Amino acid sequence: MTPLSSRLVALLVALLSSSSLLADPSWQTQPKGTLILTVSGELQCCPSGTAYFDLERLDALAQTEVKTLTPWTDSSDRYSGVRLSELLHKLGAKGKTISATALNDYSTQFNNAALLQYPVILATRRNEQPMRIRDKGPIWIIYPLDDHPQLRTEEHHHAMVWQLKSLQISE
Amino acid sequence: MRRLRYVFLLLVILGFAAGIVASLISNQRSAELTASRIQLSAWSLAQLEQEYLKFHASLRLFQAQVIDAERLQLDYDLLWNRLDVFLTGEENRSIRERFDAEPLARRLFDQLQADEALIFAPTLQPGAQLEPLIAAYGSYQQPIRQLIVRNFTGPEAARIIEEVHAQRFLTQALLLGLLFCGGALLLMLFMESRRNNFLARNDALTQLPNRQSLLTLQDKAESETRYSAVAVIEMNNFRSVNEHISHEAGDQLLGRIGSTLNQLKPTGSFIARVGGDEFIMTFSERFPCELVVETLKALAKALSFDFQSEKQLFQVNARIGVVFNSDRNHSIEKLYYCATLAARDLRLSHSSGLKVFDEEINNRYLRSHQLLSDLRRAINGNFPGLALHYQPILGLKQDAMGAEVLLRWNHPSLGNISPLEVVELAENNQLGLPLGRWILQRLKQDLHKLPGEMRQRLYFSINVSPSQFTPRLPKSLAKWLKDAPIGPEQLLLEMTESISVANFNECQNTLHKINALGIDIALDDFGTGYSSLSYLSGLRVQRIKIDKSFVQGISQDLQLQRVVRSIIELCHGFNFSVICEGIEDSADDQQVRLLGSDYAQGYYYGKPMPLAGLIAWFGEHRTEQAEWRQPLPSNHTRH
Repeated sequence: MTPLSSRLVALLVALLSSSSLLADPSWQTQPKGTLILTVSGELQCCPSGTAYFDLERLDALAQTEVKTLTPWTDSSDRYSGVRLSELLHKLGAKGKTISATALNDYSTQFNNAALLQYPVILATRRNEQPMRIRDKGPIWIIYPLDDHPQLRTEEHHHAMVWQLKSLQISE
Repeated sequence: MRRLRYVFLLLVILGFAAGIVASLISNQRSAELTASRIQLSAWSLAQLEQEYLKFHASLRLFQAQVIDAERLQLDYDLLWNRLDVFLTGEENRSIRERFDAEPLARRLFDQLQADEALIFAPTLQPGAQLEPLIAAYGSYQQPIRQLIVRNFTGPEAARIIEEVHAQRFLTQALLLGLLFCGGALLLMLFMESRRNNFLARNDALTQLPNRQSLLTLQDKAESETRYSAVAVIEMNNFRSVNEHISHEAGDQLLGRIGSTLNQLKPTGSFIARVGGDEFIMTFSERFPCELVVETLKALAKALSFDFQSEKQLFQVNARIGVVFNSDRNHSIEKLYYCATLAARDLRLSHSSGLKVFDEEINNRYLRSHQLLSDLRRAINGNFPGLALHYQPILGLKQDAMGAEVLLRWNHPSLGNISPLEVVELAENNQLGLPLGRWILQRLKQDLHKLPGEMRQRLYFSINVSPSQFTPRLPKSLAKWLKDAPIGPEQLLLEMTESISVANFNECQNTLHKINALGIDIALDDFGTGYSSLSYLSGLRVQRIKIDKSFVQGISQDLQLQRVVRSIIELCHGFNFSVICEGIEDSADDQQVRLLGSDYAQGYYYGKPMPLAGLIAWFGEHRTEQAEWRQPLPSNHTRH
């Protein structure tokens, strides 16, 4: 991680420690709708260490749109969802390593450098439609490959986990 | 040879560039082959097989009531997604295009989509209706396994592996080629630098060492080598060939001289070309003086030849100055300097051949060196002795009196210096023009000192040197006349034939402009040069000055009389008036009058004298002139 981004993280953490208003403690409880994402780690919002999300909770957060072609699709589509860095910010998550696990138990680890620098989103909609499991939903980690071609590397391709079910944040 | 070198260099560089490009392409291809085959294929196919097996197992577990419908549907969705990924997008393109993978996956996907209604029916229950389904999906197990096997073993997979190896071999070969090209480049660089080094020390035309080598030799010689003699060889006429034929001809001539020198070079000698047409030759310690002289004589003979170009024939010969290092303790620098002086002595006396350096040459050189430096200062007014003297010129047919302006230099330590020597010194050292200016300036000062009557009656004749005779001369004369106390008709310029012969047309133009100012021109020393009749008829001069060698003792010499009479008649025929110089007694005076000369000059009338003398002479003779002049029948008046 670059010195700049580590400083950013430190700043983030400092901000979060001073104010817990950002976080919603209700995320610790089971959501009303279908549980689609579980985030665990050292979270300021949730002393229990786990936050639960249904689509509604995710939709309540600021949405970001990314239009891109991926190595697994034939057309350039519009994906929208919460920006991953925004979610980690809201959660007051402490840690630089993110471990993402999919419904089929595919799991991969990546650090947060690219997430802070680029608008990497937890896409919950493609072309404004919620994504079914068979369409790589309900959550697909989307990197803005078209806007930032330097992200077209194996490393980032591996991090574009589809059918995401949980995130584990650690140091 | 040079072109061949460039072609070779170009080929090597092209080879190098092509090698790099080919290596890059080959490397890229290898990387693609390896990466796509090993990593992506393995991952993609493994995922496909796993999701398929998982769904197939889920079906059977559902049938056995171990799992619920929801779990089955999740695995259905996961397989759907896997097949979609496999059949769509760039990442899996190469894998699905090989070994009929796409039709197989497509068939499975079609089957899956066809069964959607059944799997997602709210009434889905384990039972017999699922058995055909389990069997149908079971039939894919073998083909999928087969696909994986064929991807990693089998002849086609082997072919790809072999291609990877072949690519690797190609890359290696290309890299070796690059290595070879790099080596060739290095070799060429090495050879080029050696050549440059050689060129820095040697002359390309003559293949002889150059001045740089001489300098190196000078550094080295002090401790190591001793010489018995050093010679400097200068070529006559090399410059003329260069200027009048072409530089190519000059180069050709140099090449010939170089090869002659190389051929005749004695053992242990060092020869270098140290200037345009100057060579140095050393003789080793064991060379006796007599042999040195013999060798150089032979060399002078060999270097004296006719050089024939397409247009002209030039007689080329060498001036060789040599110095003997009798006590063997002089540096090569000093020896070279002395030999140069000996050669210079030959050059100044316009001769060729061999000259041995001696004290006299050295003294002459030192004297001229001192004179030159003093002359330079004298022209600037910082050294005494430079003055003008005046020798009367008498009109024999009319009442005209003039004076030739003559340069005198009474050097404080060296005594009287001959005007010829002064002029030659100035001409040879770029002082001709300043000296000419000095004379005109001093004349003007003298003129202001003259009594009014003299200033009105006398005319003044000035000698113009070759370096003064430029297209700018008319302008500077016009400027001089502006504030001079005499008119242009009182000024006469004397020039020698050599001035006008060098560039006849340009000279005519200049003469015309001088005449236009109202100044007359006299041709000096007539009879000693090469004037032809056509040259004479075309030349824009007004007077001819017959050289004193034709006049001295003319009263006693009938033949001279006939010659001078003819010259005078000839000149009158061309409408030139004639001056006879060198009149020493009254018999000569009578004789030139009889022969028809228009003017006369000589000791008989008056020697060259300083200004005060001229004033006195004028006072004495202004009334006597009529006595000198005797009426003679003449059809010629002063131009």
